[in-house]
Amino acid sequence: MTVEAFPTFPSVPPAAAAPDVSRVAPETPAPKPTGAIARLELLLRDPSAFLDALDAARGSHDALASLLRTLVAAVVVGGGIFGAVVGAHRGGRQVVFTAVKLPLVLLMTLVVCVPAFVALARAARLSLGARSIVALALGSCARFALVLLGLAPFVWLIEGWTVGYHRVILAVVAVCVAAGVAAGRLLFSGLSRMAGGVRVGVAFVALFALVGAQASWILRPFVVRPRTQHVPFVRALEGDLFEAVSSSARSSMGWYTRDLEAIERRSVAVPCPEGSTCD
Amino acid sequence: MEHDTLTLAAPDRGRALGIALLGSAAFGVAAGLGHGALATLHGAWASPALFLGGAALATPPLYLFCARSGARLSAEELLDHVTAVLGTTGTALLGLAAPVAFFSATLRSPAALPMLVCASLAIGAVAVHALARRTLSHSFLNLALWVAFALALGGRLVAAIVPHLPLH
Repeated sequence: MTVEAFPTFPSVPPAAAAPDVSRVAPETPAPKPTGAIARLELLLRDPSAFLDALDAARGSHDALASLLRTLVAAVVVGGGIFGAVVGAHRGGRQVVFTAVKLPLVLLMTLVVCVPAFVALARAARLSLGARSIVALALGSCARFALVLLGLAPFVWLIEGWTVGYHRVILAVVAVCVAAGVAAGRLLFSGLSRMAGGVRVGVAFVALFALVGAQASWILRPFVVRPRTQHVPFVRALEGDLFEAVSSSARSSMGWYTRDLEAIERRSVAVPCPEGSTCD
Repeated sequence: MEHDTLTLAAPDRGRALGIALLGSAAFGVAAGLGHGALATLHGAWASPALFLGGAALATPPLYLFCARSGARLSAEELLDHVTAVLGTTGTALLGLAAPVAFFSATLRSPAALPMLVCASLAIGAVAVHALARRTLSHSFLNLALWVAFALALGGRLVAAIVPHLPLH
């Protein structure tokens, strides 16, 4: 058998055989996200790219307004759904109450903190205008709400296990802390792009956390025991959040603090029936 | 000794002092807002007394510390640094008035007054540190001594002012 007996393939020109990918598909910049969902996805997954988009939108009034609308919608929807899940522990009207109150907490915190943010940025001579600070703070709030939305099924699962009121509270606080860390990262990375921004970022995050904690405290109750008959929209002003969380943490571990004065009052109001030891 | 010299024109000095006065008064008014009219009025004088009074008391020793450390900083230049830091602090206090008013109106806890005092001292400490870095950065020992002295002075002022406030 000779070599000519085998069929031969036509020779391929070298250029066609191995096309130069870099020439065929030149690198193009990634398309900027335009839709609301794409923007929110960017906010959640890539804070740095979101901050770039924020910088780009700063030049155009319409683009910035559209971005701000998307962020407010994310706060309202994300916070509202998480609130509804938290309120579902008791059910009924509390679902609606909490769905309204949770976005309110975020927006109230934002309104209270923004003047301080602007003043602190001015005092630290950061090259950041008031509009950019509002957008950055609102972006952080939106990220907070989206993480809450993503972790809402976890709270729902805990509620379904009937592990008790105090543990549900701790689960809600843990989810809020996780969301707070995510929001703080965005705020912090936005500010740390500027000289001196790190210290201002620490001040922003601390102030936002404190005001947010107090705003959530004055708009309580959020988690209500299922057997509670009447649920008010808000309770009277008393105490503070940190005291309540530490009390819940102690109670969830079975360490109860007795209010001796209250017990004394109760024993005066309701005397011991005869033959009872009143223990 | 090299310093980043800062020379403020007279209107700028006046403006910085005005902002310091306005910002500290707004901070004090905000702190008293949730505790009645009397507390609000007391806040309006107590907060400027703390911040501007503290600056007035700590400036002469700062000049002595600068002279002792060999800094070629004239009294006028030192005054410019103090005024600039006061202006910046006033801006920060003006912005913080909103959160302070919010806490004053909504926080009903024994921790409220200690929190306010701690916040005021923390802001004062940042201002003291900023001023020390501007004027005494070449001598760590003098910087540390003056900062410790100024903070002690601030604590003494708080101890003198707080009992006169109808906040508790």
